[in-house]
Amino acid sequence: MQVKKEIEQIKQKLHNSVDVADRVIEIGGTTVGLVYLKSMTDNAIFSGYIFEPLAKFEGELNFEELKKTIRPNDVTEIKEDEIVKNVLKGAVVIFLENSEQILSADILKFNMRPPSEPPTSPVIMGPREGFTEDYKTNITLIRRRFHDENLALESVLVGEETQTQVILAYLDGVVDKKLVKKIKKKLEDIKIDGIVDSYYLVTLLSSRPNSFLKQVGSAEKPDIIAAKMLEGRVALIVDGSPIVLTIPFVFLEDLQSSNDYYTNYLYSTLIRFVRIVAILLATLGPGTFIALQLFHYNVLPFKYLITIADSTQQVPFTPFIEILFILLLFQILYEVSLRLPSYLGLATSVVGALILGDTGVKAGLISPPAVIVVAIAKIALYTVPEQSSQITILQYVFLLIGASLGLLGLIGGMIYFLAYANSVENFDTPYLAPFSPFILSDNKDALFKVPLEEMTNLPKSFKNENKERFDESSGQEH
Amino acid sequence: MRVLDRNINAWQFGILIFILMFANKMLVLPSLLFEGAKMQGFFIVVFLFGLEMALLGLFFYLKKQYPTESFAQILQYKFKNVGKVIFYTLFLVFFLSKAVLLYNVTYIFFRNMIYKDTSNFLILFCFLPIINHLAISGLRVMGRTAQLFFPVMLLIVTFCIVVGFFGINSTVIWFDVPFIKILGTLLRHIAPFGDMLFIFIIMDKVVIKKGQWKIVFSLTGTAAVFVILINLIYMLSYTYTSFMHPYAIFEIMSFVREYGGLGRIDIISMIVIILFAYFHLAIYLKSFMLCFEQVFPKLNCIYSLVTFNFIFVIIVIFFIINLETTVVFGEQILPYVIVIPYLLLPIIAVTCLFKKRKKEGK
Amino acid sequence: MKYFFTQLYKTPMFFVFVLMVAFYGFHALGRTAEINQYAVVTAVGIDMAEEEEGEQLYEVTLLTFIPVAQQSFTESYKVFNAKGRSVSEAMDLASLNIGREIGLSHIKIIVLSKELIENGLHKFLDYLSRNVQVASSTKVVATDSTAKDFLTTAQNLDNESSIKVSEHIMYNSEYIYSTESSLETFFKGTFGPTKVGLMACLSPKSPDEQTMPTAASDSQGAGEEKSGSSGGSGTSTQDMITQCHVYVFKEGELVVTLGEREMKKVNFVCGDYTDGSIQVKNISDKHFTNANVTFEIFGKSMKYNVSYQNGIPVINIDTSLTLRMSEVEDETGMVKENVELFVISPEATKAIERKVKQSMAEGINTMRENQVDIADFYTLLYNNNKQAFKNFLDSLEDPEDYLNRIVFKIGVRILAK
Repeated sequence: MQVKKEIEQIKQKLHNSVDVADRVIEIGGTTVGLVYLKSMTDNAIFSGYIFEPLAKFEGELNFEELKKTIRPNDVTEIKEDEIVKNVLKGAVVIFLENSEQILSADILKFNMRPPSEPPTSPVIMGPREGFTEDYKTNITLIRRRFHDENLALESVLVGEETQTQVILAYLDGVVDKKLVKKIKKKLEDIKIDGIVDSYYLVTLLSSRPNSFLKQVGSAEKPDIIAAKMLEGRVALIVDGSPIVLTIPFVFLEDLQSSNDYYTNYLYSTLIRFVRIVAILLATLGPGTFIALQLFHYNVLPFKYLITIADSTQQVPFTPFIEILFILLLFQILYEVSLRLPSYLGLATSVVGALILGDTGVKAGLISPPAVIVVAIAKIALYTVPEQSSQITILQYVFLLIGASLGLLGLIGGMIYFLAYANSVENFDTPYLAPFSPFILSDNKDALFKVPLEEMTNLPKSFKNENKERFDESSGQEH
Repeated sequence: MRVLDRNINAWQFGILIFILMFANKMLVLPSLLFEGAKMQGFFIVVFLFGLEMALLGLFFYLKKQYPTESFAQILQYKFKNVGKVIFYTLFLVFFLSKAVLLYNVTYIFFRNMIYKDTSNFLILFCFLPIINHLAISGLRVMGRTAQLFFPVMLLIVTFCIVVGFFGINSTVIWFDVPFIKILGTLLRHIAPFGDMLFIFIIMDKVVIKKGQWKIVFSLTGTAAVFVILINLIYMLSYTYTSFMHPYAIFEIMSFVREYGGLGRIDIISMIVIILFAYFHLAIYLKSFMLCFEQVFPKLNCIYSLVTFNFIFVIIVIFFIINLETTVVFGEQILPYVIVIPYLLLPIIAVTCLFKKRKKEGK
Repeated sequence: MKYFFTQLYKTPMFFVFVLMVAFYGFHALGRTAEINQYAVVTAVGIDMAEEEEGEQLYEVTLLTFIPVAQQSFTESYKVFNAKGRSVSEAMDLASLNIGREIGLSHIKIIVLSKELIENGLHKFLDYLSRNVQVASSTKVVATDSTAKDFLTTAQNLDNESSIKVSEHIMYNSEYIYSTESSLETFFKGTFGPTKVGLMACLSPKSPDEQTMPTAASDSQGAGEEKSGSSGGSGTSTQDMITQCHVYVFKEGELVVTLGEREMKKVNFVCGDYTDGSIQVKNISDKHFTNANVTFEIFGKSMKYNVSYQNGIPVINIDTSLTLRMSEVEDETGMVKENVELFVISPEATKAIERKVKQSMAEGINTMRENQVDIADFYTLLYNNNKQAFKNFLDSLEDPEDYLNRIVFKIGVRILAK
């Protein structure tokens, strides 16, 4: 093998990119070639553990000697066609003149942000570390919680251009083996040019990709992922994304927050009921309000009727247009406050809340009851932030149903959407378990939460190696 | 289009029966019975629920003998293909006419109570897509959705009954209606009953594990007790003025219209009426589809759906849109159709049971 | 497009539903609120108007809530009226006057004029019982003057102070009548076995005529106490609504008008009546001589025992009253004892017993004279012994006259609070 020629070839394959670096040195009459990416390798390790030992080497250098000389811990022998791939992963590829054997030493390093508390799921009392964009760090964060041989990590590459590492993490002996196989097969079958974030996999792993329902779980904190893995779920760590996915997923998971597990169980029960009420308010609130206004004025309590009637007299729009207008206004404000830098966020909230809301009411463009109903619905949405996008869609749908068909339509719509959700079974897991089908033992940690020592079994909503978590007699399934 | 009718478990089965037991028996039936038979109307309800429970018992024995076979298979085995087709055609008529009756009763209620100014089509079009969706999604999805709504229904019905107890202001129980009149009332108003035919139709799709029959029986019993209680409360609260109050479960709540400044909380009972109506109609449609499958085995389910919707809409729009025809339909035509589950079904079931036993004996 | 059709094939119902919702949704965009299409009526008054072309006209007066664009959310009402050959026709004309459809589902009170009650109550009651919108808990009252006057007064009252007529009636019904004066109770009585329905009569008065002319002289009853205290001790100029008497109907026909004192006596026989006062004159005991003592009734429990003697029912009414002395008009005129430990002396007890027995006897007599079974003895007897009661009724020449044949025995027990 001719070193210089080989280096030229590699450089050409990488389109002579600016960060491709090469070194050619003579040691004891043997030419040694090194190729690496400047942007992805650790400078100190390269000079201290690879270049310096080689430069200091005395005597005749052959491949065996080379292997002994360089000092990084991750050194592998590779074939010629793997050179480019290894270079791209942050390794130094070393070859000798007149030798067919090639050596690759992994010295990958790039700057990452440290694990910090994620903005999406803060806790009052509980672990504050969150995943980062680097999968190795994420694996570390999970490993640190399982000092047991049962933690298994498997790797799959997804994306033809991006070649993204997807790590399947699960606990052997807890998880259902068939499930792991199924997920792996589904991942391998994915033909896509690239994956930028783990959300790409959410739709690709759903049994009904067109559905508006979220069918794969996600979390940004290792404690949540660890808890889900303990229940027999598979975690999917996607390189480049701080969001780790879990499969199988049931709707209930989004009702639970990690906070629930770090406080008193009675308080968590209360909070979960609040969440259910909030979801109902968010989805059905505006729809019910408009239905009552348009179709069933006689159902409204008299005092409330007076308030609504008095306050809507000045409004120039019909009730439906009015409430659509307010909803849209809120949605725009929300979108703006997300996009704007935080120092401008305050300004938008002042403009939104005070100027638009208050002045709008005073000017008679919108009526106070409608503003209140929409505000309640919009605030209630964020008690379950993971489902906020789905609930927002439902909010509009039910508003439309309420305005067009009234109360009968609203209840019909509810039946329709719940029946639809019931027909979704991603990885053979009923979406609304353990409520429908009703599973008694799983309801210990559903709407009601029992103390930890009473949750003796793994969830029965999905398949896992049903073993006891806590040494007590087991529950009953219905 | 393919319909996946996967099995349902004891809970879902029980809840579907729970819904069947309620539906249109809690709306106009109590006042009709009271009008015909005064206080003895109570005995009519108890008697008819006894019959329904007897049908469930019959089902229990049949299911024990034929754990995996469907009712159609049993019929084919006993009565040849012709017999099966004849029976199932009768069932088709039964479910379709029951659906029409139920729709009309609820329709008139909604028009009177909450939809005054809307077109008749609105209510029709509220119902049709939903019940079609439930029927297409299959029995399991229907069962699960019913299971999801079950706590709500149970809670509201219980609430209605508890509130209704406070409305009772008469303790008089009159027994002075002659037996022949009671019998006449029973026959005239038998139409809301006989829904138990449905459980025979879905016989092979029910998987009941050992020891879970008690769930089914207790759910059915609970429903029967609730309806009987509603009847009783209604009769005791509106002993002399029942003619003013046709909608039983709705009316027993109307005492609390001014409850705590909340205004009309009788809307709560309306929610449960709507829920029951949706599920009950969906059950009828599902049964219709399953029967259609047996009568015309070569046609797929789209044909049955289209047939049902077409006939249903035609009947509802052109024939039975007003109260008078509904009353004629419910009191003069339907009672003959109800003979199917109450007369034909026991005969069929007993023959099946009996013949099998004979064989075993040999 | 192909994708669209495959989706349509997979979930046809979804698209039907979407189509439906979209169709009605566009319609909903232009739909005004139902509140603006209906005139929300909170009170209805019916009068007899003059005859026209030989046909009797009815006048309907509607107290209607009219929404006003303002921030304070006050209830502003307006009175509308119209005449028609029937109640429904008058209602239709009134709705033309308002320019909106009439929504009766929030009715709180129905006012009937005396003229209507005396002549054509049937017609109006039939209209109400056929109307599904009107709640059966709606209060029904009669008035001495016209219903129109009554509702105008009620509106003034509501505008100037915040006395709601419906609240007024609710309060009064607990103290004055043995039943609440609602549509349901009226019908229940009328169609029940006794066929007796009660209806309260209220009349609008201006403050100068506050002392009531006929029905009551010294004790005014709780109704006026209330209006007096909240009206600002007589200094205000507004009109007020006063309690006067109770109309008793049998089979929908006016039979007798009971004044407040007569009603009170009748109420002594009925179980429902719990509050009020008794005045006993000329009591002499160790505490006072020749005193007029007023007792407040705290509780009353009644026990009815039925027995038959020679086929004639005998009803034993045992009444026990819990009393407290509330006012003494003595010669010395001042309290001397510890008020908390005040015991009703045997002399006073006897006097009260006599008084109560007399009242009850008078109440029963009132019922007997007019053949109105307000206390519902019919049901009592029917529940007690069906066959014996039936035999008893069969033995009578006029079964309606059963009250006069029943023997009543009254016992009274007094408990001090």
